[in-house]
Formats: sequence, C-alpha cells, structure tokens
Amino acid sequence: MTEPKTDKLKEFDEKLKLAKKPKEVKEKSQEHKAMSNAYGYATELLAGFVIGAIMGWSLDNWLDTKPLFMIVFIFIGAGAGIFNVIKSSQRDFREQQAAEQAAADERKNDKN
Amino acid sequence: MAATEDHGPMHQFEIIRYKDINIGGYDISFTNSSLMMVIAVVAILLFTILSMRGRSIIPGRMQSLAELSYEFIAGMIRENIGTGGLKFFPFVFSLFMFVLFLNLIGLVPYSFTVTSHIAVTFILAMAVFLLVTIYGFMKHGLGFLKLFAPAGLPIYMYPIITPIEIVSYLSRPLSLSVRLFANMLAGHTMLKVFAGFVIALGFFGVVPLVVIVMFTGLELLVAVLQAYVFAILTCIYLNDAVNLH
Repeated sequence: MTEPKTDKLKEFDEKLKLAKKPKEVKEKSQEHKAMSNAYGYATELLAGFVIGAIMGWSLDNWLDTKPLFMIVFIFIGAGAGIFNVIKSSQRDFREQQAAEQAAADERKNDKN
Repeated sequence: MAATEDHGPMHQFEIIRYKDINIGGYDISFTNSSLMMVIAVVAILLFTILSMRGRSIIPGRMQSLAELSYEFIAGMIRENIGTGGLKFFPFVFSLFMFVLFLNLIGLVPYSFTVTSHIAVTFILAMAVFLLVTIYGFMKHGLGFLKLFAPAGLPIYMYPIITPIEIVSYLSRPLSLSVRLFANMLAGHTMLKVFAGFVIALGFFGVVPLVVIVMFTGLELLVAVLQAYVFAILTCIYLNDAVNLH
C-alpha cells in the first residue's frame, strides 16, 4: 500500500467497511445462542428427572412396590439428565470452536 | 379485577373456539390455534410455490430466499447425518418451516402463538421421537438396542450406563418440546408484562416502551433460533437411527 489513497480507494474502503459490518451481528447472535444453549441444558437436566420419576412411578403402580422403583429411577433420571447436559455441551462446544475457527480463517483471508 | 384479568399477560395464550366440531367423542373444534396453523401452512405453500415459479437460473429476491432455506436444511442434514440422511429432508424441512412460520406469525400483534402450547410442541417432538425409534428398528433390527450399550466400557459399567441411556433417550421428546414451548411462552409473557408497565407508569412508560421494542427484536431472534434448534436436534436424533455407532 505505497500509492496514495485516491478517491476510488477511499470509496472501496467504505464499501469494505459496510461489507464487514454483518459480522458484528453474527457475533451478537452467537452470544445469544450461548444463552439459549444454557436454557436448553436446564431443560435437559429437568427432563431426565421428570422421565425418571414417571417411569419409576408407573413401574411401582404396575408391580405394587411403592416407593422402591421411584427412588431408584429418580437417581437414574438425574444421571440421565447430567449425561444429556454433558453430551450436548460437548456438542455445542465443538460447534462453537468450529465457528470460531471459520471466523479466524475468514479474518486471515481478509488480510491477504 | 375482572377487566385486568381479561387482559393479563396470560390472556394471549387462551384458546378460543370458532367452530365446535365433535367426531366420535373427540373434540376437534376449529380454534384460533387451528386457524394460525392453517395460515402458517398456506403461507409456507405460497412462499415455496410462488417464489420458485420463475425457476430462473439467476434467482430473484424471493427465489433466493427459498433456495437459501433449502440449502440451509440440506446442509444441516449433510453435516449432521451425512448424505444418507437426505431422504429425511422433506420431514426436517417441513418441521423447520412449520415451527419457524408459527413462531414468526405469533409475533404479529393480535395473533396467536401456536408453539407456546406444550400440546402442540409435544406432538411435534413425539413425531420426531417415533420416527427415530421406528426407523432405527426398521434399519438395524434389534441391533438398534446397541444404542443403549455403548461399546468399549468395562463390563461392570453396563448395569449403570444402560438404564441411564434409556432414560436419556426417553427424555428427548420432553426436553425437545419444553425447550420450544418455554422459550415462546416466556418471551411472549415478558413482552405483555412490560406492556402493562407502559400504561401503569404514565409518562415514564416511555422507558418500558423502549424496552419492549428491543425485546421484540430479541424475540425475533429467539423465534428463528428455536426453529433452528428444533431442526438441528431432529437431525442429531435422526443421526442415531441412520448411523448407529
């Protein structure tokens, strides 16, 4: 970039700046996605508990063993909930890393 | 208090019957919820048919929108399931468009948000769950049960892991439906609560009014994001049935 900035170059610069703007929006939505993921984990944790409790309760009703299975299955449900959260957080982490990698690559390409 | 109860924040979620229909003891009345679903389906049909009518090589505005949504879902399926999952494209695409349009139409004032009712979202999630289960057993037979016993664990772990995997599998429709329903319900309730502040605060109601405008933008994002989440989770669940690991 040794040549002086002509009007055309300046114009191009402005256009470039405009073209780059949507990236900020993308980052904002990424931020919001993280929040929505967090709510999702809470739902998954709770769903494990609820399904475990329902399964245990119906097994108890069927086999007349109140409250043995409900107690056992609530613990299993808690395990399943935590398991779900681990699985989906790992998935989201990978996804986010891929997105960050893609963004970094794009930035590198822009510089060249 | 009756007047405020009629216009409370939860009033928007009320089901209004337009026409009572009763077939074989089942109540299948045409309600505002049904009306919104019909509007969404008609809007999706108009959107996809009219925008693709031109079939030009260089797409116009509407055609590129339709192509974009096609490419978006096709790419999502390729990424999460692989090309073998493309036979589920019609299912995932319809599901995504249906949820997206219901969410977006629900944002229009005086309309009704169908996805804020767990009855609707749970049936949608159940459809996904049943499809995954039935297809999994059809494709892999009883081998599909290997999903509940991941390979490569020490033998004494199986009695603990297998019930956890089963409960985790069964909890999917619940978490999938609650996620969509809770997001829509919470967002719309919050909008109405803040709208109530506008009137209650008189002149200073300008502040919540600005907040509402910002929240509406946020809600637009949530509407699209939740449709995306619903579609991508469907893909992830279908992946288990298509490529058993």
